[in-house]
Amino acid sequence: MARVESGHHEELRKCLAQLDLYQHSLRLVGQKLVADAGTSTTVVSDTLYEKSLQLGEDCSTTLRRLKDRLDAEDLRQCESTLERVDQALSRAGLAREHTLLVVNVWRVVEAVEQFLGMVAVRYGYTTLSDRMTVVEEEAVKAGGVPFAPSLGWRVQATGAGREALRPVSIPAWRAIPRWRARRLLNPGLLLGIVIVLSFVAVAIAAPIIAPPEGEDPYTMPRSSYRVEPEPPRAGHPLGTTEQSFDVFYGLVWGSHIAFRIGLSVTAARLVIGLAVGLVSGYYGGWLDAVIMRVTDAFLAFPIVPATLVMLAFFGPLGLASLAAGSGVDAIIVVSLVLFGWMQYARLVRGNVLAERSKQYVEAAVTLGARGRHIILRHILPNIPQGLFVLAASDVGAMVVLGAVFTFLGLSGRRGLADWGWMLNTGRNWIIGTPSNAFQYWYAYLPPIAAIILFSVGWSLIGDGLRDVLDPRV
Amino acid sequence: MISYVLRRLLVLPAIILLVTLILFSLMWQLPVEVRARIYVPTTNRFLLPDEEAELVERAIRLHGLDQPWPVQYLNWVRLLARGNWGYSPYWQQPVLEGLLQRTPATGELVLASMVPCVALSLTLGNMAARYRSRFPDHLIRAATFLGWAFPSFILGLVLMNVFYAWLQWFPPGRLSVWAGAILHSDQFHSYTGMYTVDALLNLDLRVFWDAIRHLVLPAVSLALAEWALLTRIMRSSMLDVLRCDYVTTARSKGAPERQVFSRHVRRNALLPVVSTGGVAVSMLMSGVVVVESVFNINGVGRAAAEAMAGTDIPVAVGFAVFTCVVTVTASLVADVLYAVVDPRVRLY
Repeated sequence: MARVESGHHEELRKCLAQLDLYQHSLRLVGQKLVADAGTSTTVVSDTLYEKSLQLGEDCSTTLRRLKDRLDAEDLRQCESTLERVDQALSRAGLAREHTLLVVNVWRVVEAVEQFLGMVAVRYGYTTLSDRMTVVEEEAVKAGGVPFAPSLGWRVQATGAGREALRPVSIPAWRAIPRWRARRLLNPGLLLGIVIVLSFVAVAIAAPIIAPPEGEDPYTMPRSSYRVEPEPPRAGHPLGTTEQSFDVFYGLVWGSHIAFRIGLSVTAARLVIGLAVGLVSGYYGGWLDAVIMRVTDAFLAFPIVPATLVMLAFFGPLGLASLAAGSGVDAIIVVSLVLFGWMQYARLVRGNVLAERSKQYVEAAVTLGARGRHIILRHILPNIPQGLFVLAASDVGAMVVLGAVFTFLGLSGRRGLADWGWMLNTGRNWIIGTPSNAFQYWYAYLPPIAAIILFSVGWSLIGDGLRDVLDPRV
Repeated sequence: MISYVLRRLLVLPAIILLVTLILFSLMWQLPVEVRARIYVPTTNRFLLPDEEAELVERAIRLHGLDQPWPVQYLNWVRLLARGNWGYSPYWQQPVLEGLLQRTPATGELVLASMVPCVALSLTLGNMAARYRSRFPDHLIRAATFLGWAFPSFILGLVLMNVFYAWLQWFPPGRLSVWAGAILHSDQFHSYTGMYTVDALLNLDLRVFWDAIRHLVLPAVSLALAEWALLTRIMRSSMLDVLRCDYVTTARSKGAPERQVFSRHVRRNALLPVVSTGGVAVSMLMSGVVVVESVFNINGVGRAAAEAMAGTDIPVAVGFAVFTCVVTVTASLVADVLYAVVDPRVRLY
């Protein structure tokens, strides 16, 4: 890599900044143009036209000035880019009424920008120890300021002198600008947090508001052996289910089971997905190809049928864990993880691929960092876009899925304080009596409400997080 | 485009290999007697323990279940390919036959829910994007949120409670008793096994109407979550496309709004929807099990779930293979469709 004097670097930086400014103003002009004239104009305003040509000229002169300082490889690309610029300019100059030709100038400017960015990386921004620039010196003075924040990169001074400068990646959550942080007070997100926190409160207070009667807290206490569900009365604030299990108790302790399934499955999926996605995305090549094919193969198993098959194969093991008083069927948890990590892996891999091509990773590579270090220290903090969103709504979805299997009667045992299991017996009473269809509402409505509220809470959090983290949608 | 499709087809054997390997490695955890019993036809006749042990012994020898695992794997795949999927003690019939016999009921339900669902989600997603941040958009977004929040089994129960028990509009099951009697009479020819289609082919509108009435609630419960998913994706991809430079260009050169949508936006916005096809079918296979169980429809999903609740290993294996075949085919179709819709893929 060629050594470049700092004057050259300064020039590059100025060019980039200028281009940025121009593009921005052009975009504004273009938007105003469309807004002012509605959608029926074919006339290009004078300002837009002039600015476009001026921008093209600027690009052309910049490239020409750079030309004699580049090495052979860059020179070739520089010349071909220059050719494109000149061609676009001459065409736009010929026919000013033709919008497409003017727009074409912007396209070419984008190519110039890309080229300059590449040159900047190759000559300037990569290794810091011997190529200090004005920008970076200023960064040191300010004690480490973000520069090129769109690259997720800032320079941080870790000591005295030039050698102490390090490119540091900015973690995504710290990169949230203040105006977006204000949107944290998004009403949906707040509502979701309130709902989930109230479930947490119920789960924590469970031993007090519904003290267990036997050794195993996940078994609902029963008062008699009556088959018919009975309405709310003293001692049973929400009535009793078929065979006289207390509904209120089931709801309260069901929240324990919900959190255990939801959090454990989601955490395990997240960890596996992160590991697979990071390795696959960072190393690429045949390893990536193999891992992605395996991911595709797992995606061929729909989650409910796959878990049913697991239950048919290994059901007794899960029942053993229920009998041991854990309240959660181990086979269901294992299966939901085994056949559910793929979405996380794909998301992480995509994010890693996007991050990998960014300059701060290149900088880290040039500085001689090793693969594991780059993955863990530089890429990992920058990829949670979308992960939190997915994980948050997954917690609720896992509870719903877990309830499906106890509801279908493929897992669980009599009197299990699980919302799905309560529905398994409650569904027998869904028809009511001929005179009143909703006669036995206490047998099925409370668990339905609990399941829906729980999953809505988490998906509100997921949606809210997406609004906060991704302002586009 | 053809070479793109061919390249996708080349990946197919790898996927099939991996899928069967995953399934085989799960099966491998089971004791050999259990795996051998897959191939033992249990008839209604009561078998003495000695007799059964002998049959199991013979199946082990016949299908090489005492061989090392690669041999067993190949034998298993070969048997699958030949159509020997084992014998289900719960259904009292060969697994493949049992699955295929119940497929029309499931297929009818899937068609009845998916055709309106896809059409509705595309138009409503389109509408939401067009009226962004105005009333129709808010309404549709709220509806998709609710649709996503209601799991299909809970939705099924609620719908049954309201529309069957209370309003008595729609009954569960597949047919009323009187319609079933007509269906099984000699004058009625069964062509497809889908009651609605058969009723039309037999020109029996009363049976057709009855079958439709029975289909409404399960179709709605199966479709709602899918509808919410597809509508959301359609909406956000429309918004993404509307932000593209080429749309701004088209507008600034003065193309009428309708033409901008039909020529530049809609086709490109379809791409993310098409690529969700695989996921949607996977969701559908999960939904079918649940919805059929709730509404007591004797399709593949409910029958398999019931058999598996009785730990019927042959059905478990067969059903897993069956769903995998469906999802792999569906994602292949989605890929091909993607190539058809996406102009860029044609360049390959």
